[in-house]
Amino acid sequence: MNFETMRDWLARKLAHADDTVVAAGGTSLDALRQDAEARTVTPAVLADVPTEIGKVVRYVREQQGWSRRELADLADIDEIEVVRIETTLDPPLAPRTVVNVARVCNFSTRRFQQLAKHIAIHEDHAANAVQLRFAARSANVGSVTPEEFDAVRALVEVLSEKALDQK
Amino acid sequence: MTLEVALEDRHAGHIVPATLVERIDVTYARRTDDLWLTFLAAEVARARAAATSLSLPEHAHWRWERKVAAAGHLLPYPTLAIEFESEAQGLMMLKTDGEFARLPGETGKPLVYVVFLATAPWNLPAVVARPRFRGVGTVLLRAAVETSLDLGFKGRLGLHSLSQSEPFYAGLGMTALGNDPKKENLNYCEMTPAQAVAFVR
Repeated sequence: MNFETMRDWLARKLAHADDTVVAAGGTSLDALRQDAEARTVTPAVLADVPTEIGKVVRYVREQQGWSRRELADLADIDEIEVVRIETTLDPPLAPRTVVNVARVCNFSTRRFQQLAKHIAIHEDHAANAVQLRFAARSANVGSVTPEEFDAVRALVEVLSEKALDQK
Repeated sequence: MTLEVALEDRHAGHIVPATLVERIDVTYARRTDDLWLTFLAAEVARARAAATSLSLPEHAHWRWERKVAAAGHLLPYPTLAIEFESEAQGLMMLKTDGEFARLPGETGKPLVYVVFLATAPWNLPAVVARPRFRGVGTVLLRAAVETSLDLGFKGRLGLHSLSQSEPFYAGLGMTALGNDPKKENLNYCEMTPAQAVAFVR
């Protein structure tokens, strides 16, 4: 739409309905905050996610209030890829999917790739590697304890440290 | 993202190019509060000095920073701005999920809900003798309808009108469904897909 079209349209509309005193509202700040908080992640939504990589993606997705479709659109991947990350054990993810999801979730690409087992883990990081390999394969137990929930949150924090990417 | 739109500059006497900002952040909202509330305070002081007083609408005192901070980080809560020469002339927060039509024949279908909509104080007749811009609400509501169309909601729109604005929404062809005790008793208004088509035409 160009300015001329918009100008002509606006002139027609204003001739018909004067918008000088337009306003809308009625929602209290408390109600708005409550709705926003209702969207924050609860341990229950993570219970059915079988892998750690799925849990961190689901965590960020819930926190942002994104549907699977919205996350897929933002990452420019198929929605089925998001479903695969969140619901399947040991998902076979395309490298591009991993990189794009890391970008959208504001994760360190390197760390997220590591979690997704897409890059070889160097000998020097053996201890770290064991941890990540364990994390990537942790199975669904049907519920999430507060400790496990904290662990997922901590993992999200670790993934969000991007210092490694700068090197 | 920004789009080129238009506003009527009543001082210049013609329609001028303006910019629509599709999602503002907390910093933008804070900057706008500073601008609007400072202007308002100056006008209030001026009126007091002249031994009169301004009868201000409630939304003139809104703190947009708090609104955007509360929900602006969530994808379904975009706040849009319309700018002229980098100054916000109007702000609108939308809610794009979990809101459904109430009109008979449309009941239960998804719509875009206008959470808050307000114009800058220098555009308000309650604040200044010669308001500057007109078209702020019209253009922002157009953006809300376009958002609804993009989401597959067919242009369906809902909002709670502040009392002085009811004639405007009626003029757009929106249907008023009566006062809503859950929303400060404001009149709930809705736009149907047919009304939306007529509005953007």
